[in-house]
Amino acid sequence: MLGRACAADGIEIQPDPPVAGQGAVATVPHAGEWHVYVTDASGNVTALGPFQADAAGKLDIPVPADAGNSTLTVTDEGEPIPTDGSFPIFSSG
Amino acid sequence: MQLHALSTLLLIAMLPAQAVVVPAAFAGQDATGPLDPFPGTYLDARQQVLIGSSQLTSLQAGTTQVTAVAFRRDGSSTSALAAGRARLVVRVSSGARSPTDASSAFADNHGATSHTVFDGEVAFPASPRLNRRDEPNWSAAYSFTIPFQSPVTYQGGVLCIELEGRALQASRWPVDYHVDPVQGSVTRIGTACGSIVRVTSRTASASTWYLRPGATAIVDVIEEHGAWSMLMLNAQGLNPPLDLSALGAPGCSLHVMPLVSLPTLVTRRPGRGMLHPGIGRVQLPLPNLTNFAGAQIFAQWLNVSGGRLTTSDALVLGLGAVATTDAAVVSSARVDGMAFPPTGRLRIGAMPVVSLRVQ
Repeated sequence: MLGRACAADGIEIQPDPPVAGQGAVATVPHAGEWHVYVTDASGNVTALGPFQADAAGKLDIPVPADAGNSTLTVTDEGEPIPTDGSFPIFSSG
Repeated sequence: MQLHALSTLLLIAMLPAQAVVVPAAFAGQDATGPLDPFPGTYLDARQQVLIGSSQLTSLQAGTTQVTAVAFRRDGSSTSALAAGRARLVVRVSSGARSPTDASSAFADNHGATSHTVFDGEVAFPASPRLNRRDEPNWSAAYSFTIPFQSPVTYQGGVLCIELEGRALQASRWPVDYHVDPVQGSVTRIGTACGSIVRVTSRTASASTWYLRPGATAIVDVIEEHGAWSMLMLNAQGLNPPLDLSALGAPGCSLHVMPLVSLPTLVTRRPGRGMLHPGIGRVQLPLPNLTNFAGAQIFAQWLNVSGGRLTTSDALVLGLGAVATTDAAVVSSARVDGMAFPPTGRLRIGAMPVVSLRVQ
């Protein structure tokens, strides 16, 4: 049981938690470029995207089918402090 | 003479306060969306709003006093909002630099004299869940007002409102912004090479929202932490690309012969794990010239990490049209607990929807 993801920095995601192999929509605080990373249980990182949030702050994220039990991080990599949201990914099935 | 001045002040004080909403088209209608986090809502940041004179025609230069400014919640996110508090410093000047000629340096944009009109706490109200997008109005549940401790007389020209905010009680409180809808475009060529491909093969990126004349383009590279990277730019690409195998970079191709090169250091952001890659970033001010609309810039990163040469994929950056909205926003990076930086991201043709209280 992963429990409900905790949104940080004003980032929300639907469905919450995101599900491996399904699309997710993040609501982020500003338009523009967002980096999305998947970190597995061993700490290995894979970058998805980057993706463009529209002016309403909506960001479509295709969650990989093999990303179950990993963590999805949505970030603008802003300097000096990034705006981040991290969400555990639910394994479908 | 002194009696005349006193009479004038008394007359102004007796005038009923009016609200002037800018941009006027969104007085009762939700605008584009929550462009940049409002300073102090859940992060520390500086933001400057330049409102062009064409949007302020109802204000009388030398006579109209601005006594407060209010901001409205964005309606695109329907969730209920928690209350928050911020420490804000607000500076206002008139006769500021034109939005179409704005600078990413905050100090460059103010008029001859800027006035600190507010220095204190501001409360963001708890706001209920929305049933429809246009539900937020200027009532206390959907807006907050910054009353000026020292009202300022509008002197004509561009009005500059600068906000420095530090979050005291963090709340995700999205403010409604109007954004000129024109964007640029990004087309990818080739793939990255080197050990970073375990993370991604598309290591270069640029936001289409900043690819327009007058804006500050942001071009990123994902690379190994500590790499030294150089952004190479040219108006033309190399076709066919140059194979860099002979230079000890197997699988790497040069798509851009650099006409301009901009270096940066790739760093891992705070809080990232050791296996997380770093990010390098270059901000590129684009001239606000009409003939730059539709222009193409070829961009590619050349990286040196651990004595090895690698390349990113290449990007063709297509510049969008010149903004038509007479406004601009400069937003600093997030700087929680640190000094406010002198520069920020410039976005021409964008501004929060504001209600100026005038008399």
